[in-house]
Amino acid sequence: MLKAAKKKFNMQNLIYLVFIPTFIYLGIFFLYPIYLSIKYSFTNISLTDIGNYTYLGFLNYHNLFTSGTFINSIYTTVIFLVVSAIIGQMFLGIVVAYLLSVTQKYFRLIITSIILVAWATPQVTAGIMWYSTLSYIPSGTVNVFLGYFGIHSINFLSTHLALMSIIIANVWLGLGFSVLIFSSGISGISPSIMKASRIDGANPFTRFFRIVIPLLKKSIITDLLLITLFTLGAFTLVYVMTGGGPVNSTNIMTIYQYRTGFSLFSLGLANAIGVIIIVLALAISILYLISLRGD
Amino acid sequence: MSSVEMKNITKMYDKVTVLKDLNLKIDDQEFFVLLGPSGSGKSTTLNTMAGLDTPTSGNILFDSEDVTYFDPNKRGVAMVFQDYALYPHMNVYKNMAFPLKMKRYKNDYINKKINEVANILGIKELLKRLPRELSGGQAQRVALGRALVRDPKIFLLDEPLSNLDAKIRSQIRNELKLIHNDLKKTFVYVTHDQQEAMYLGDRVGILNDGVIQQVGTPQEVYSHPKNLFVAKFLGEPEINIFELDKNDGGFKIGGVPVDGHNFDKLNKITIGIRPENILLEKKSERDMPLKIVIRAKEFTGSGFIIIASTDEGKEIRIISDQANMDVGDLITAYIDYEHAILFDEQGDSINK
Repeated sequence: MLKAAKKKFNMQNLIYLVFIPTFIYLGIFFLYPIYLSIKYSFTNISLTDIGNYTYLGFLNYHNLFTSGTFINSIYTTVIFLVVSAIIGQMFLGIVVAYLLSVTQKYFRLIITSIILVAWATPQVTAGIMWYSTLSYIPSGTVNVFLGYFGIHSINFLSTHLALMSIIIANVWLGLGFSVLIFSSGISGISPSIMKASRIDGANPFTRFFRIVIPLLKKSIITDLLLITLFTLGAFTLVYVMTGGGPVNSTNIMTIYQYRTGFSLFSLGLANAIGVIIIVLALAISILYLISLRGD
Repeated sequence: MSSVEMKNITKMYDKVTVLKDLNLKIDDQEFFVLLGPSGSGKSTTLNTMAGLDTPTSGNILFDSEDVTYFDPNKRGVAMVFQDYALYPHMNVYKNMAFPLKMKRYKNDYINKKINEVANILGIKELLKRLPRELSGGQAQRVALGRALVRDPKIFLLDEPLSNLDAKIRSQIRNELKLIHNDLKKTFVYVTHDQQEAMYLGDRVGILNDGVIQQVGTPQEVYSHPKNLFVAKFLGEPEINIFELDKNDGGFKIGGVPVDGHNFDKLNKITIGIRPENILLEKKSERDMPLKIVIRAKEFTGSGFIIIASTDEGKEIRIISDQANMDVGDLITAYIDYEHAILFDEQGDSINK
């Protein structure tokens, strides 16, 4: 009997062998780079001389948090995140998904496909497209149209408007993903609950806020978690459209990190920024997951 | 006071006609049951009554007021659904308060009303629970409560008992009947269960393929079905059917001619006989003999269901309170002519 038990134990352990390649892969390509990143963030390593570096302690972090550019970059990132991801993609995503849910099947299919095309567009393509749409000199599509109506051209990529422009472009890019998540969430709500709320006298507005949104809580958290991470890591679209400018007005953290690393060659500092982004993303994710634990 | 009248209602989805020129009059305070197989359009009928759907053509009148294009909440109806349709994120109290809040009643009134209804339904202990913490029977009681607090003119119930297990089903069925007696409101109840329909309904309307087949009291539709569909749909076990061809200018079973006039123009008739109306002893000269072989006996508690086959191999069912025969026995049973129902070739019932 003991022998049989031992055999069973071994068989069960054998299953873990299957995981070994995964763990090796994770270790080499995820954990080790993160370890390196954290390690280098405490050094003065430079891109020009990777072999030589000295440990600086928390100097990189100290420098960052006393630098106006970096604080401004965090501020820009937070605005970008809140307006484009949370308000734009998530909230607009629910609204669009809800509106689509009450329209006809074919109409729904067409609109969903169109929105998803945006999501599937490569970010460089999207960036170039938006740049040519919003460009001031030479006049982009929007300004040409404004010209037809006799309205003066607007510099959408100026210091004041650039952040708004990249927010709109990013909402355009990411909306499809949220719509998809919320559409499946809404189709999971029992039709009789929607019927009951109509009979009970809830108008479309009340129904949206008091029935649909509370019932979509799980989809909302999932969506928030993912689009927050997407948006924190956003780089290509913004880099193509503005390059972080003008005058740092769209200098989100990823762009700041890239420029620190590859224009100033200051890899130690760039890694410190990276670590801050990771910590920020982790903190927000944990926050979301905690709020989900209630159910 | 609320009567419901549906006038020439036609409902189409794309090109599929779900209801065909449906006419129905439901009296004030009546318990009306719409009975039909799935896909017959009974839920669509209820939805158009509720205002969740608008008919393609035709009018709906509540107390002779045309409400065809009224919003559900303007019609003063309450609805109970098969899957209870409780709001999962609200507790029982909030679920019941929701329709009252939508009508902007004061909290004092809402509180009073909910306690009153909770007492009637015996769900007072459940008020703080969430829907997922309720059993099926409790959930349907709460759903009923949510309908009751509103004091609606008309109650619409869409197969409310179908998801419940047998014991609770009959219990809530009884309660529904009592609630209806107490409230004296109009109830429209949709079901595919013929026993439920006959038990609950003051009148039953049988629906098939979007067409009302017959409307009448349970006794009427059971004993005098207008056509074969109604005859077959009601009754458990199913009615026994014999199709007869004309022979020597008349119709015969077991050598005994089927009595009746107006047979001249017919080449074929169908006789329907309920299992309880097949006799083991001859009652009158007009009863028609059947030579049958007993195949099985089922004990039902109050009697037996005898399954037998005729010499033509047709399976028939007999309800009898005695069963002093064995499987394999060859006996003669008699079709009680008095209770036999005759149908013409189209399946419509004809007078004897």
